[in-house]
Amino acid sequence: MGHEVELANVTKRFGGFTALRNISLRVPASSLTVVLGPSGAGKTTLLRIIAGLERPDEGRVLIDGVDVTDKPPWVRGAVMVFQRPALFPHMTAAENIAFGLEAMGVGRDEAVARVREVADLLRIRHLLSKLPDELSGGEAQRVALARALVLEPRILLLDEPLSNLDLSLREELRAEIRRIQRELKMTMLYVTHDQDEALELADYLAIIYGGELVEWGDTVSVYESPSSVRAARVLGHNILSPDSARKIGISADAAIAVPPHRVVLVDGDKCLVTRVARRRNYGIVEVMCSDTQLRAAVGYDVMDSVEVGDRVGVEVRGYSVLKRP
Amino acid sequence: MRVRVLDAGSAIAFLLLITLIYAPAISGLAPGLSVAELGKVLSQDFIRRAFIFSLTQASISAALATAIGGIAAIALTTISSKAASIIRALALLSFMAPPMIVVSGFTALYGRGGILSLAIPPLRALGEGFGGVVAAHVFYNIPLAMNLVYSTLVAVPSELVDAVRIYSGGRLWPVIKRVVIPYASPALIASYALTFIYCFASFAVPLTLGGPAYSTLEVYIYYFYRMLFDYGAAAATATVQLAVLAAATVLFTLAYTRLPPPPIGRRAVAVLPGRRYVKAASVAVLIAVAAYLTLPLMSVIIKSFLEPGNGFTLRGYERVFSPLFDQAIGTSGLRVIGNTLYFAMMTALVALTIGSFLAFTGGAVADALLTTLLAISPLTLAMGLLNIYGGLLPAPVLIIFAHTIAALPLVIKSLRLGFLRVGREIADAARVLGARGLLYFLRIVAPLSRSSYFVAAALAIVVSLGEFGATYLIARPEFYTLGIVIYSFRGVRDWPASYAASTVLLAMSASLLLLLSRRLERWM
Repeated sequence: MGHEVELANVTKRFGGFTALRNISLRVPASSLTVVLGPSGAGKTTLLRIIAGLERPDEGRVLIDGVDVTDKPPWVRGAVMVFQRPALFPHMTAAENIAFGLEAMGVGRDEAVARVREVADLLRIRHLLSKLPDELSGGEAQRVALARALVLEPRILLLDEPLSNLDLSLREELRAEIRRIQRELKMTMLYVTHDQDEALELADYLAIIYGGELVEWGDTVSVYESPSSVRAARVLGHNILSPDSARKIGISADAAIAVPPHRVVLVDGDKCLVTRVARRRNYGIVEVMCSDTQLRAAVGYDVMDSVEVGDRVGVEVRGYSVLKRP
Repeated sequence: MRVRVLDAGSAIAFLLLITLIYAPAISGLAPGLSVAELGKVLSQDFIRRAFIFSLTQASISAALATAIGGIAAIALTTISSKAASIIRALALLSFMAPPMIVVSGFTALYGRGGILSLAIPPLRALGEGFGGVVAAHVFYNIPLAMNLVYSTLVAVPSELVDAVRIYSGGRLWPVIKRVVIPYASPALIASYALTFIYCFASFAVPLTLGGPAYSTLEVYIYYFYRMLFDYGAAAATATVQLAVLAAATVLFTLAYTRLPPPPIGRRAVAVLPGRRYVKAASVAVLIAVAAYLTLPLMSVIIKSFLEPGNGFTLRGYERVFSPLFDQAIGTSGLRVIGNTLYFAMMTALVALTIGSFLAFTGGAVADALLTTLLAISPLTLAMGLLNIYGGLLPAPVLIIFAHTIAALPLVIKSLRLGFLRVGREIADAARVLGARGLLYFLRIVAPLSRSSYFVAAALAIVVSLGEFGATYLIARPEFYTLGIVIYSFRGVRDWPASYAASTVLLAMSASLLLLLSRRLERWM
């Protein structure tokens, strides 16, 4: 069964620098919540506070409604997986995985059984006798994941665990993490700056910017209709002032966010194509429609049919009003 | 809970400091902390002379050692890393050489009938008196200055040197002015202050090479305490000494905190341009330094086989290894060797146990310890140990205590370097997995800093092998060590025996240092 984590008005400063400012967030039980934000936004600090590796200057951390703010890491039931595997270099994979059980005082036989079980779950049984030196990056991160999962933590905290891996491995492990989360119905908090990762994994999405929680909700609504300017910026949406919006036929009393995939190129001559860029799996076409710049995410077929200097029409098929800064 | 564990740790660490260091230090100084005692001591002509001599020789020795060591460090960056390692290993050997061996070496090489002074009589000046004291102190401290400066040069980014070189048209002076001096100056100040401290409170060197005319305050502390049994005068002299040492310690601490973090596995950038004359000059400097550091030790070995005027002999070794009672030392030579090894092993054991605790639990506590130990001379602590524990504990235990105190700064430094290698990521991972206290230490920290333990043990053993002053103050003949016996044989003018005892002691510490030289190089 999953467990609920709650942060209440958490502030954390390092010297004169405020890393987190008045964060309140409730992570529902058995959900996978992704914390998305640019580098230096305070994502890792947030996880470290939940793990008990940092103490907030203000505010409380609650797990299942119990205040754990002053509790050390090992009694919280929250285990963290780090960006780098941080395996103990002098222990085999099996010993690494068993380490937390040893610390908990679990008997040898039970520990061996649980290590095997989690090794099967992560498909790393063949690696158990190897030393960290002998593992590839992906294998090491699987072992690190196993080392956390074997403790059957109430909450699993993942701090960009895949960011040092190459693309295919990242996708493979991402699917694995999602599968495990569903199988074990575990509450997971996953930090990343990679939107693909966030969108694929998240039940809920929290966006952090400059130490503040600027957007929070279920993934689809946060992504499709953010209500804060900073969230829209992190997500890479088009941000249009009410004036600019009016020029493409949308009347709003505040700025709006238009996700690039909601900008559709159609026949017409109102807009000028100013840039065409190929990305993995999709293309970006930038157009200028009477002073208003818009970015559209399109399929390769559409992208290949236009060139810079062409005139096209656009349709905006979805937007949200930005009520907050 | 974590806080509580650390608090308990700090409390025990603090308790150890009190019992082992602070209480003895205070007890050593207390009898002299009266106007009457201080006045009595300071009104003595010979004490004033000793004070001025201590100050002069320490200032000159520190300046020479720092200058030569600094130049040698820069020269080290211009030669191959393999050659640099050899020079640094030699330097370590001389830095860690027991003082009695160094004293023997200077006598063997430059003293009356010395190997070099026979050929070049003016070199006699380095074998005794003022010159001898300064020369031996410079010998000891060149390695210290060289390594401190070399460590800071390792931190110089190569891009910086390249940039200055390009913009200054490859000239030498701008590189020295803009790179070497700014980077090296904290290390130079730190090494001057540290060398000054060691020289000011020096005991074995002035006792043997200086003679009555060139005695430091530390020698008079011994004289008051052991010869005259005037504990008040001894303590008052120690107090005067402490005032100067404390000032130098403050200077050292200020400079030391500005040094870059210890380099691990990096090699210094060649800060000087690779011109032929620069390289030739560097090699010449290093050969001269290496000769200065090794010739005295080699002379000891040679002289141990020579009977003055009679050629080859093994008589010295026969006397050192004899199981029979020896009038000159008050016990047998073999027993002395046994004592020396026993104290060394026990010191390693005790210093590693206490040192791990201090290094692991308290950063600030450990720092305080290291700093305090600089300002309090070994004899002051030995007096205090005798005052407090003399009636409670047998002499061997006190000797092991004194050796442990002497070894702790190096042991703690080495262990902390090892603990640093554990790194924050591993530490965090262990914490979130539930490791704490003893389990964390035994399963994570200790295995990962294993090589630091070897180094710390070796250093503790070498310090114990070489310790002279405190042992001499505490020990009765049946607990004498080789260092004291070297001095005793000198006293009865049995030079082959004195040199043989020096050679045996040198073999013990050198073999250990050379065995671990690769690990020690990283430590230095």
